[in-house]
This record gives sequence, C-alpha cells and structure tokens, in this order.
Amino acid sequence: MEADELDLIRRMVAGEESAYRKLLEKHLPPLSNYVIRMMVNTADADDIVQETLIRLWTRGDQFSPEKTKLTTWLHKIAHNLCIDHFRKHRRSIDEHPVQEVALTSGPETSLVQQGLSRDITRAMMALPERQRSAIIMCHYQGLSNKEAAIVLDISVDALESLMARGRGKLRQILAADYED
Amino acid sequence: MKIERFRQILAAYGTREAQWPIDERNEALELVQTDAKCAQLLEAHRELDDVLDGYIPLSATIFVEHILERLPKPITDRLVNWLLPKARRDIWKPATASVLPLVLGILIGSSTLLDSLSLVDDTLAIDWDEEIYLLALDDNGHSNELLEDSTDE
Repeated sequence: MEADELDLIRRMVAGEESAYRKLLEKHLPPLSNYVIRMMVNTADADDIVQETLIRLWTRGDQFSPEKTKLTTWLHKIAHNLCIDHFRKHRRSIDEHPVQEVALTSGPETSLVQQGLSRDITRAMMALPERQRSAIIMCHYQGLSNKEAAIVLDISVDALESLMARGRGKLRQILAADYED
Repeated sequence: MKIERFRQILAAYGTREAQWPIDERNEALELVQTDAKCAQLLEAHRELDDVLDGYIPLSATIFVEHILERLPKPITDRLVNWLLPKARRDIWKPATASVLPLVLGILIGSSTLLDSLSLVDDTLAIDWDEEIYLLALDDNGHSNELLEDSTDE
C-alpha cells in the first residue's frame, strides 16, 4: 500500500477530516461504479456507497493495512451491504424491470451503446449476486483474483469456478438476446 | 502450462491478460505465442470481453460533500445544532459551543445545590416532628399532674 494512503488513514483515524476527504476523493468513484453495477436501483446504490464510506470514518480503526489494501476492504463492506440489501428486498427486486436502468444514461452515450449497455445490464442482473460481484471486481474494478477472493470470503479456486460459471451464463443470455 | 489450464483461465478471467493470475501470466502469454490452438481459443473468448467493455454504468449521483454532511458529529456539535438549527455556522455555533460547557456546569451545579438543600429541609422537618412529639408528651405529663391535683382536692 502507498505510504501516502497509510498516512492518510492514520490521520483519518485520529479524526482529521481533511485526510478523510482525500481518501473519499480517491475511493468514491471506483466504489460507486462497483455498487451501481451490482444494484438495480441507483438510489439504493447511493445509500450503500454512503454507508460504506461512512463506515470508513467510523470504523477505520478496524482496518489492518498489513492484511489487505484499503480498496479491497471497502469493496468487502460494499459487497456485504449489497448482499444484505438483496436479502431484505428480494421480492421488490424480482418485480423491478431491469430495462429501466440503462436507458437513463447520460446524453453523451449513443443509442447503440445504450442498447448494448441495457442488454448487458439485464444479463448481469440475471446472474446470482456472487457471480456478478466476482465478474465486476475482476473485469471492471481491476481487483486481482486474490483480492476478489478476500472480498467474497472464498478460495481463489472457488472464485475461478464462480467466474467461469458466471461468464458462461452471460454468454448464453447474450447469445439468446442476439438470436432474437 | 497445459492447454487445459489455459482454457480454465480463459473461462474464468477472460481474454484480458491483465486480469489473469499474476503468477501464471507469463506462461499463458508464452503459450498463446507458441501454440496456434491457444491463440484460436483466445480469439473465441474475446467477444464476451468486448461486449462487457460496452457496459457503461450510470453516472454516480453521490458526491464527497454528501458523505461529509452525513458524518456522525461530536455530541457538542449535535447539541448546538439542536439548540440553533438555523444559525450562521461561522459566528453563533462556535460561540454557543464555547458557552455550552458553562451552561451545563451551572445546570449541574444548581441541581446538586438544590438536592443538598432539600436534604437539609428533610432533616429540619424530622427535627420539627420530633419536637412536636416531645412537646405532646410534655403536655400529657402536665395534664396528668393536673388530674392528680384535682383528685387530691
């Protein structure tokens, strides 16, 4: 871990808000991308990102830099909050149409991209949460296989199996979409 | 590396070499360069990664300021916010925060003083009751004496 980040963490744990702000500026964008890709609803995603980063402030003293990177620790908190959310809101998630999600992308996104993004969003949402999380962490978030395994609390072998099943299912769903 | 392991790596991590396990990456790359079948396998898996790259997440609507506003505040800040919710932060809130310990001290001090006074009052009340009781006893004694005098007569 970078010495600068370690110093920031130490200062944040001592109660220095400016150090916390710098950590937020670094970790908020990637963490938001992870949670938004995991969730169906962006308002829920915002709540989870906020809760994760507030825990960095309130429980930062529990983070051990010798064990994991800060980004891994934050992904683990966010992942657990996402899973808790899915458990609590299982029925309402099943009732939400996924198509609504990608259509509200920014104006800079072309219609073709929006259509593609919508297809992938739907396919991703059809995956079990742990498969989805594994693929998001390794493909988009740049986490290594060991870091992703720590987040999911499984072995690297189990992670590989999870990702292979997830990617296989994605290929099936997308192939069926393009056949239609 | 055997082709079977290479196949497993592709199935799990896809075709982006940066995502392959770091301790097997060089061997896998070497295999792609030397084995035509592995190169074909790589191409066959590439499409899914290209599609995944097209998945653009919605823009985040949460900013650093939102999180800073939601941080749990120290108890003095919460008390000040409760007392002066709409006051200007730069003037009144620091002033209130500095006066707050004094006010709390006065409140605690006065309540302790009142408690001790009420204890004194209780003691006085007991003494007064005892006094009345003793007087009553004295009256009885005196009335008995009067009774005795009247019978003598």
